[in-house]
Amino acid sequence: MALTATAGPELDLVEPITSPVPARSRQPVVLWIVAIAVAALLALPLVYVVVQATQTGWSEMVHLVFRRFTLGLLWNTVRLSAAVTVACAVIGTATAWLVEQTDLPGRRFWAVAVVLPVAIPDFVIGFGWVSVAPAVHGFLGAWLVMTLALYPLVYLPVAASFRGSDPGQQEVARSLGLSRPATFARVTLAQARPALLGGCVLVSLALLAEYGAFEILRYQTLTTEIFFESQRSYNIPVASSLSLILVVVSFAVLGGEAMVRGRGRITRTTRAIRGRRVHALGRATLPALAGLVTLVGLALGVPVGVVVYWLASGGSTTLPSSTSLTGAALTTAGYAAAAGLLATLLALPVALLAVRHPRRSTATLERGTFVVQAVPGLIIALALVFFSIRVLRPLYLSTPLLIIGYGIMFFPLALVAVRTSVAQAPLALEDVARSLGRRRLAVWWRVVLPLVGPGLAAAFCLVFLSTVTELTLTLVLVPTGVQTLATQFWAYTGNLSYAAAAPYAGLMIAIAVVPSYVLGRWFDRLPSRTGHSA
Amino acid sequence: MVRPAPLANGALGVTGLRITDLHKSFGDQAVLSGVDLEVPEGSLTAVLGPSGSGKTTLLRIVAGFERADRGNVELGGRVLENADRSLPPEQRGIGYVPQEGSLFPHLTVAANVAFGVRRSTLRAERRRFALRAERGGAGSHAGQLLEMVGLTGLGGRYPHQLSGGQQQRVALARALAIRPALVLLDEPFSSLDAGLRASVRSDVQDVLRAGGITAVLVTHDQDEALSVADQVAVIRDGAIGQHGTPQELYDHPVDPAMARFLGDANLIAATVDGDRVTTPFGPMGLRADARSRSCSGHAVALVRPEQLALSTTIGGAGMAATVVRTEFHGHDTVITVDPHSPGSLPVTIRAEGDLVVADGTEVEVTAEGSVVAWPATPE
Repeated sequence: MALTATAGPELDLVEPITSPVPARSRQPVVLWIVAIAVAALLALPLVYVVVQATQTGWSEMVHLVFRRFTLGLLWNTVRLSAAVTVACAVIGTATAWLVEQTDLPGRRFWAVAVVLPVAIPDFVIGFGWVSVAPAVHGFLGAWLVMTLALYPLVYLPVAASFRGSDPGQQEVARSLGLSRPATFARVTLAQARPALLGGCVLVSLALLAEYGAFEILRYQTLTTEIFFESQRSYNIPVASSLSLILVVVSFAVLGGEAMVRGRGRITRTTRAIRGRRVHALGRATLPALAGLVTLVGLALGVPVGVVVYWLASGGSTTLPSSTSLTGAALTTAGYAAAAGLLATLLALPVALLAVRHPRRSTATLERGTFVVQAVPGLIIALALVFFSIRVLRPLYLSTPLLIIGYGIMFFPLALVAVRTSVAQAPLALEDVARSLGRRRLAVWWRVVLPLVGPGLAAAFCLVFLSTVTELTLTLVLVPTGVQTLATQFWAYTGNLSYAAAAPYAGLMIAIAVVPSYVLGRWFDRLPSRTGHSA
Repeated sequence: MVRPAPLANGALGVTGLRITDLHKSFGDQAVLSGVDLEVPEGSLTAVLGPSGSGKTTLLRIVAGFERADRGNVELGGRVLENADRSLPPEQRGIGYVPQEGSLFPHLTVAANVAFGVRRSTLRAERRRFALRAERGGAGSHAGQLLEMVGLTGLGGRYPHQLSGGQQQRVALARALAIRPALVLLDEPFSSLDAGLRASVRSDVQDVLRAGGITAVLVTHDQDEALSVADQVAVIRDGAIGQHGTPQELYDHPVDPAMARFLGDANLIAATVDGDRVTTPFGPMGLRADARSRSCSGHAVALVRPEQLALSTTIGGAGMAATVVRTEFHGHDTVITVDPHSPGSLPVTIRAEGDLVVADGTEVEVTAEGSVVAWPATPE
């Protein structure tokens, strides 16, 4: 008799797993409507660029674009972008490696000190250098100042990536016969590549959008010229042709990153990371320390020192009255608070959709709204001026319009923070809370808000301090006669009244640096907050 | 663990939860297609199925987090869900223990447990507690629940300060605090490691039994389902494939696939004649339910590994085979043998204790007891 183990119909008991979390069947209709309205608002600047270009006429545009002058501006902008991005990538990565992967003395201090320049407005750093060394101008001056101002944008993501890297992988690489530098290149740096790329994109975009620092350093870029043509000589066709080029270049940067990054993803197979393991610097310790001291001295010491110098040396006659200083500070704080609130509110529906209803459609919407980061503040400002004059005349040069401008400009910043915070309150918690007999509203109040609140506050602070130091969009949109810290500083430096400008710079630094430090600490602690499933 | 006095529970057999003809699809993917299930009051019923079989969706519909496309859900005679209405989760009075515990990370353990308790109830308890405290009495309801799940004194901690097993116990206490008519447990032990799983499992079982609480446990682990539950419902292709006590399911599976899903199974070609089954191991009895299936002639018989025995004395009525693998588990030993008859597949035998047989030993396999059999399908 033959034995068979399989007999009878085999039933397929194992079905393919579609997703670990069961999909929600109901579409969040209200959320979708609000999020699409937000996306429409964010799309305004792009609509403006296209409308302007069509109004000028394409043949005229082609003529304007391919002028020698325009191409010269483009060359100025692109070569500076490339040079600064490369310098920031090198300095940011090297600093991150020193702080995160070596036994550098005082690494906790350095971790804070090397980040702080990001909180000082670029035009204040520029002002600092120009008043110390008038020789700092032109291409080299712009390169030096912008590198010092922007390298933290590379340092921050790369350091975070190094911190999260698995030391076991480096050890495995060494055991497989790779030297230390080879391990760094093929394992550590290879894993930090997305972070490095992301940082470089931020640097390029910030540089393309910068106006104030270049004006001070007398370096002409697309942005400075657009500002001049639209605000001083009112040559709208030229301004719009340049705007089109600027937007195209910005989008090329964003698209280029997406292409280079590709579809590859880095996943860690093992979850637990056993302690930080560091490389001994040995004899390289002193040079490394000297390098960091120089870096922080140039990026932080020079601007802060100059402001302090002018504050100390300025007589009572040259210093502005304390009433105008307080007035400007209060106005700035009010604007910044409103901007923080608006940007956070705009980001909330998009983040809720993307985090809680992860589908292709919501991911596309979220990615679409992120594109705003490639639109320079100046273009946003010009777009709002254009639409308010044509459609909503009473809004022209009004406070609400300025706040909307900030809201659009800092939306991506708010979205990053709001997204993390929304992820702190998974839907499962709401389900449980409701099964325990609590109504939807009570659940929001008692569960969602306490969990999401800190992150929303962080988003608010992030936008708040960015608004305090914002210059370009403010100059275009600020209501007539209103003074903010940035516009006052700008007015005084324009007259070369450095002593009078210094208090405004000092206040901006004070307002921006303290929250930056607090925020840094908050983001540092973030992973421990997700410990509820540990 | 302190066992509370059993609550007054209805006699077993009274229907607690009744699900009829439940349908649900996501997009064009049907997840549930006609689920019928009755859970007797006071029983612990396990819904057993592989990942993606729709068991979690079933639980979420019962809890009220999802709406069914079609079908009814009733609890204690009250309609929770039908074509016209769906009671919101907060009005169902169903305790829910999710896979990861999902404790509120911003609240202490005590606040988590008391989360669903009405404020008026809490105030009344506090008054009573104050009175009792003077007399040296016991603590509040939340305190009692924590005591019940064995976490006395941990009320002031935060969820991240607890181990995985402790978190699951708190999640259970939190669900029980609202005195639910039904508790739903969604793979509550799967995130725990093996050693912890067994102890948390039996603790949870004790708490539920002692309270006479109607509970539905969803799991993909047949061992867990069979050992913990009073009733097991196997979900398969979006419907309940078989429902019964663990013993019934194990001994009388409806088909060979079910037999294999519920445990190690030797599916053997056999010949049925009346109530006698001729197997390679010798003659065996036919179980009653198989007889009613009018199975006769060529058949497939289910012989569980523990029904088989080994002997090194060759020449009897059993099946001659060679030992190819021995797995020692401590409490038992699982031996795989290769039968000598050509074309036959390996057979698994479970023997108690530490039977030591070297690989390659010639043995004889004999069987005991009765089997279920299904008509062999023509090849």
